[in-house]
Amino acid sequence: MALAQDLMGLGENPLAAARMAGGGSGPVTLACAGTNAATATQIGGTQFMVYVNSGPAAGGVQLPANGGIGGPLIYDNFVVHNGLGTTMTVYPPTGVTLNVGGSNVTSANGFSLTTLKTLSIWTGPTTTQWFGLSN
Amino acid sequence: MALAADLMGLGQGPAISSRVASGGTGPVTIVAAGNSAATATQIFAGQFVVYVTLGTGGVAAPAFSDSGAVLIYDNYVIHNGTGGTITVYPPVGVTVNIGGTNITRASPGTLATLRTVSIWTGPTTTQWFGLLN
Repeated sequence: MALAQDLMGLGENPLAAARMAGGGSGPVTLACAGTNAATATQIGGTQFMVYVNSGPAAGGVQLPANGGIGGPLIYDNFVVHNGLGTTMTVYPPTGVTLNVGGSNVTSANGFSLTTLKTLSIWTGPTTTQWFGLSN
Repeated sequence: MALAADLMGLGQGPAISSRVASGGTGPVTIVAAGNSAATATQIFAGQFVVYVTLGTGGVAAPAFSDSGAVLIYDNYVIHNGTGGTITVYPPVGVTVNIGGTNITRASPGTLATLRTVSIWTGPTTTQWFGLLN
């Protein structure tokens, strides 16, 4: 369902468009950064589809926490793709446990996303328990 | 894209909200049960993302004929948050291709602890496919 601006062009109101567009509000690409959750690049609250295309080796991105103005709601779906030539790390917000591929991921360890792989994350069923699917 | 209730709060109508919201109408969690397709917990047609929190046994995906109507290429996501493996049953007459295997009601799929399966209900009412980690 494209980007929010595309849905707005079809007559949808801005808040609903940002929430309903598969790609959210954008930006559509992101540079990873840092070496831990605190220094990783923060993903926006409605930046649902992210292609990481630059940044240092072993850099990371951090998912936004539920709540707040423009923050994720229960069962929003974030997709992060590693378009780099090196492995990067995807960190959940502090206090969130993310189940992926049989393991529990937290902001302390993060999920290691190798080159050209994708991680799809659902921000529920609670504000502290999420899950994901990766190839 | 949250839940239908969230989109209704942003001015969308109930019908389009329940169809467009990635999480559908909820409930957001479900309890596994039973030891066959007939006794497994039924997932509702509008319940697009479910986290299995408790129970043993299985869950059954909804059929096109169920109330609330599954449509072609709806997307159902099921996560096993329990400590044991659960079984995922397709509807009667549906074959789901997942990871190189055909899953049917008679030969259902298994979902290990902390694993997720994503199922697309197409391209026909009897042929679906999925992605499992």
